Amino acid sequence: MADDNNGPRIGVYVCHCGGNISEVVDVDQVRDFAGELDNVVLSKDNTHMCSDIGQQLILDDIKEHNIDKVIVAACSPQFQGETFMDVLEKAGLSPYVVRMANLREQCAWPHFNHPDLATQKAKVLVNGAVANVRNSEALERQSMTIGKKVLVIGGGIAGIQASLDLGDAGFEVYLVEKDPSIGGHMAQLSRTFPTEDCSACILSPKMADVPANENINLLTYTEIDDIEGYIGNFKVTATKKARYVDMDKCVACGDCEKVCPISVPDEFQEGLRNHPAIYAPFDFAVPHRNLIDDTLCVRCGNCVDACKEDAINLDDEPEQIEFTVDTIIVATGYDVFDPSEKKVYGYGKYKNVITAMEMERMIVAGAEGNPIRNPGKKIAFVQCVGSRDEQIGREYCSRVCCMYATKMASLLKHSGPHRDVYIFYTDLRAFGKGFEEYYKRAQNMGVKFIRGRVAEALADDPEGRVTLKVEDTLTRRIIESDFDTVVLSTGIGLSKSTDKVADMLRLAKSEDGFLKEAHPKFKPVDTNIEGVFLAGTVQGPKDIPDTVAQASAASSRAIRLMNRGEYPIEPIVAFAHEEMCDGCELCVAACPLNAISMAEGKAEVNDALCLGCGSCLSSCPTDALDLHMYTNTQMLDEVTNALKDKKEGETRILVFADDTCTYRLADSVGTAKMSYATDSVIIRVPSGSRVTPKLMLQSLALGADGIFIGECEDRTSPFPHSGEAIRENFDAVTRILEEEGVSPERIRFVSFVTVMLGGFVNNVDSLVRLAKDLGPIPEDKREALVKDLNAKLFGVRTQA
Amino acid sequence: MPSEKDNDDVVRVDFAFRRELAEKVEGNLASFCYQCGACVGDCPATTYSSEFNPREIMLKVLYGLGDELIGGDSILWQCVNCYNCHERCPQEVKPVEVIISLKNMMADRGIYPPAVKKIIHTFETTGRTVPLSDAINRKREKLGLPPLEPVPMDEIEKLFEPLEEEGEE
Repeated sequence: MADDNNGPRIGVYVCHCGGNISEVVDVDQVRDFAGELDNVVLSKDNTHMCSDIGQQLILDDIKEHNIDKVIVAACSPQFQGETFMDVLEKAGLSPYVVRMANLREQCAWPHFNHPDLATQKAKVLVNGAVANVRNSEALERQSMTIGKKVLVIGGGIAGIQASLDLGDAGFEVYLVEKDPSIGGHMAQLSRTFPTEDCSACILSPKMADVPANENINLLTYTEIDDIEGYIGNFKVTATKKARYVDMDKCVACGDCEKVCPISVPDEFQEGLRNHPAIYAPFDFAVPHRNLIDDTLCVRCGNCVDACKEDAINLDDEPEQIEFTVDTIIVATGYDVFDPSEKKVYGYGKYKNVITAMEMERMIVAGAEGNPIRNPGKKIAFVQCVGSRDEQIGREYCSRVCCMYATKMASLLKHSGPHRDVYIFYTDLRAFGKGFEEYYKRAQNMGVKFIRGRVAEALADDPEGRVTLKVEDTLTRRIIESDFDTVVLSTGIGLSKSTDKVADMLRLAKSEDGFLKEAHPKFKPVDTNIEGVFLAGTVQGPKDIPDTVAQASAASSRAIRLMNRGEYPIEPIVAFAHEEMCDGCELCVAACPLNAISMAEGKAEVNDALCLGCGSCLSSCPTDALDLHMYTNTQMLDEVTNALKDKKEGETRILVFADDTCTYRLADSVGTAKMSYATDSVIIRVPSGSRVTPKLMLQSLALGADGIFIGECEDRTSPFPHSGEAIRENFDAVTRILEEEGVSPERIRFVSFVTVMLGGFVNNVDSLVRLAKDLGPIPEDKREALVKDLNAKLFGVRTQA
Repeated sequence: MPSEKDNDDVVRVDFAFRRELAEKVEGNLASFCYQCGACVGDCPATTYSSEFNPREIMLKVLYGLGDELIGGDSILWQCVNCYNCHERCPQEVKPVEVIISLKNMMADRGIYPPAVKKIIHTFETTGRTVPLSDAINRKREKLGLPPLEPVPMDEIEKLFEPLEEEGEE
C-alpha cells in the first residue's frame, strides 16, 4: 500500500450491496487491487456502505488515518452520491472529493453472466475513479440569496390551490391565467366523483378566496411571453390582453350583452350555447367582469351606449408587464382529446355522438332547470376514447374517465330512473378512495357495465339514433344496439398552451407527452430545472383530490427553497486559468447562456448563470477554460487509468455518458439486467459537450478503440445547444481522423432519452463489434493523432 | 402419483407452440393483447359464425393453447383477411397477421383445406392468388385505375428457388 505523506491520502471502500454486487463481482479482488494503487492509503469492503455502519467506517478512517479523498465502489452516484457527499462534509472535508465507482449498475447487474469480466471491469472503474479523485479540488457548497416571490402559471384548481397555499404562507404570488376567469376545467363539471359534490359549489368559494388574498396578484386574460433566468431570478414578461371593459367600473349587469349583434358558440358551454362578443365568462367567474372578444367584435358601439357605468373602452390596448420571481409552479393542465380523430365513433358526423364534457354541461343545464337538450332514454358511454390507444400514440390510461362516466351514468339514472344507461369499458379502473364503493352503487342503481371496447358507431340519419357494435367479452355475445345518445369518454392530454411554457423553461417531457417530474417516486413535483415545479394534470392525468394534493406539494417544495432566504448552488461551473488565457474571446461566443465575459482582457465566468455543461472548453485554444469537478487534468487522468491495463488483443471503448440522460439510462439498463459488451467503460460527464475534441483524440491515442458520446435529446437536455456543440466537436475530430487515416466510424454520438434501454445496448454493442473488426489503431497513428494537437485543432477550427 | 386427468382444469402453456409462432412474421404481437374485444365487434366472420372470435384466438395464443387453434378442422380458415380488426385494434396487435402466421404454421404441417391448395396452385402458375380476369379489369377501368398486367413469371419462379434449395439440404 502506497503511503506517500506528500500526496493525497485516498480511502477506497468496496460495497457488497448485500450481495447485489458481491454475488457477481469478486469484491476481495477489487479491494486488494485498489489497495495497490498510487495514493491509496487504505482499501476496505463492507456489506452496505450506505448504512450507518458503512458511513461511520468512512468517518472513523478520515479521523484515524487522515484520509482526505474517498472512493466508494458501490452503486450509481445517482442513488447514493448525495449520501457520501454528506458524510465527507460531516467529517469536515469538501463534499466534492468523493467519487463513486458504479459496480452495481455497470458491472454486477449488466454483466451478471460474466463474473470474471465484471470483476475485471470493476477494477477498471475503480482505477479510473481513483485517478479522477486524485486531483479533485476541495470545492465548497455555495449559496445565493433567494426572495419570496412565486409565479403560478395556470388558474385551474391546481394553480388556485398552489396560490392560496403560498399566499397563506406569506409568499408573494403572481397567478397568471390565459383565460378571462380562473376556475379551469373543474368549473365546467357537473359534480365530482365519488362524493357527488356540486363542482361549482365547492370550487367557487376557493376561486373567490384568490382575489381576497392580499399576497396574490391575480393576472387573468394574461399570456406569458417570455421567461428568462434561473432560480432566485426568473424575469417574466407577460401581456395582459385588452378586455375593452374597465374592471373597476363594470358590475357585470349584462346590459351590454343584450345589445350585442354577435352570437358565437360559448367555449365554456362546449359550444352547446352561444354568447355575444361582449360577455362574462360564466356566472361564478373570478373576476366576474365582462370583456369583449377582440376577434369577434364588429365595433358597432351598441354596448358603449348601453353601459350605464361608462365601463367600455373600444380603444383599450394590451399591456405588457414585467416582474421577477424566485420560483415557478407550472399548472397549465390538460386538453380533452379531440374525438374526431377516432373516425370510427363518428364524432362531428352524428349529432347524438357527444363528448363527456358536453354531457357534463347538459347535466348542469338540466339540473339548473334550463336544459340544452334531452339525452333521451337509452344512453351509452364509450370508454377509452383517446386513452390506451397506440393508434393515436396514447398508450396511457387517462385515469378519470371510468369514474366520471360512472358519475354521469349515476346522475342520469338518478334524474331519470326509466333511463337505460350503459358503460362499455375496456377495463374498469376504480382505484381511488371510495371508487369501488361508488362503482358498486352505480351497478345497484341499474347502470349496465359491459366489458367490451366499442368497434364502431353508425347511424343512417346523422340526426338520429346511433348504432354501436361491440362484443360483450365476458359473455362472448355480440351487441348491436341503438342509442339515443352516445357519450365518448374522452381522455386527457397535455394542454397545447403548455408547450410554449415548457420551451421557455426548458422543461423535459416524459414519453406520454406530459411534463416530466425530476424523480417518479421521490421528486414527483420537481422538474429538471431548479426552482420550477409541477402541479396537477400537466404532470400526468389525475383527478381533483390528487391535483389538489400535488398543488399543495408543489407549493411546499417551493417554500422549502425560498423560506431560508438563501439557496445552495452547485460549484460545478466553468472557470478560467487566468495565466493561460490570452483573451481571444472565442469562449464568449461559445457559451449559449452568455455566462462568459471579458474582464481586463481575461475570460470571466458568471457562476450564477453558468450551468456547468462544459461546452466552452472546446472553444479555448490554450486550454485556459476548465470545469470544476471535471477538470482537464482529472478527465485525462481518468481516461488514462481506465485504459492503462488494456492488454494486447483486448478491445475497450469509452462511453462518455451525460449525467442527465445517458448515465441514468445506463443505470436503467443495469437495473433491468440487460447485458452489453463488457469491453466498454462508462465515464460520467455533466454533458456530452464537456468531451472536448482534444480529450477524444487523447483517448484514442491512449488506446481507446472507440468513443461513444451519449447526450440527452435537445428537447430534454438541461443544456441548450449541447447537441450542436457536440456535432461541431465531432466535425473537428472527424477531419483530423481522416487526415491521419483513422476511421471516423470509431467515434459515435447518440442523442438519448432515458427510456431507450435497447438503443443504448445496441449502440454500445455495435461500436464494440466495429472496433473489434477494425482492430487496434496502430501505434504510429496513435502518436500522430496527438502530435502538435493544439495547433492541429486550431487549424481545423479556423478552416470551419 | 396424480393422473394427468386430475390436472385437466389447469391451463398448460405449450411453449414450443408459442416459440414457433413468435418466429413467424408478426407472430408474437398477441402478447400485447388486452382482450378489449374491439376486433370482434366489427368482424364479418364473427357475424356469420359465432364460433370465430379473434379476441378468443388471441387469448388462446397468449395461453399457448396450440392444439385448440391448429388442426384439421381449424376455425382459423374462417378469417376472410379483411383487416377490420387491424384497423380497430388499439394495441396494434394486428390480429389478422397473427392469424395468418397461424395459418402458415398449419401449412408448414401440410394441414390446410383443399381450397387453399388451389390458391397456392393459382399463385404458382399465374403469380396471383386471384387470377386475372376481364371482369376485374372492367371494374378497375370504372374506378379509373390502370388495367392489371400479367405477372412476370420468371420472377415468381425465382421466389420459389431458395425454398427448393433449402429443401434439398
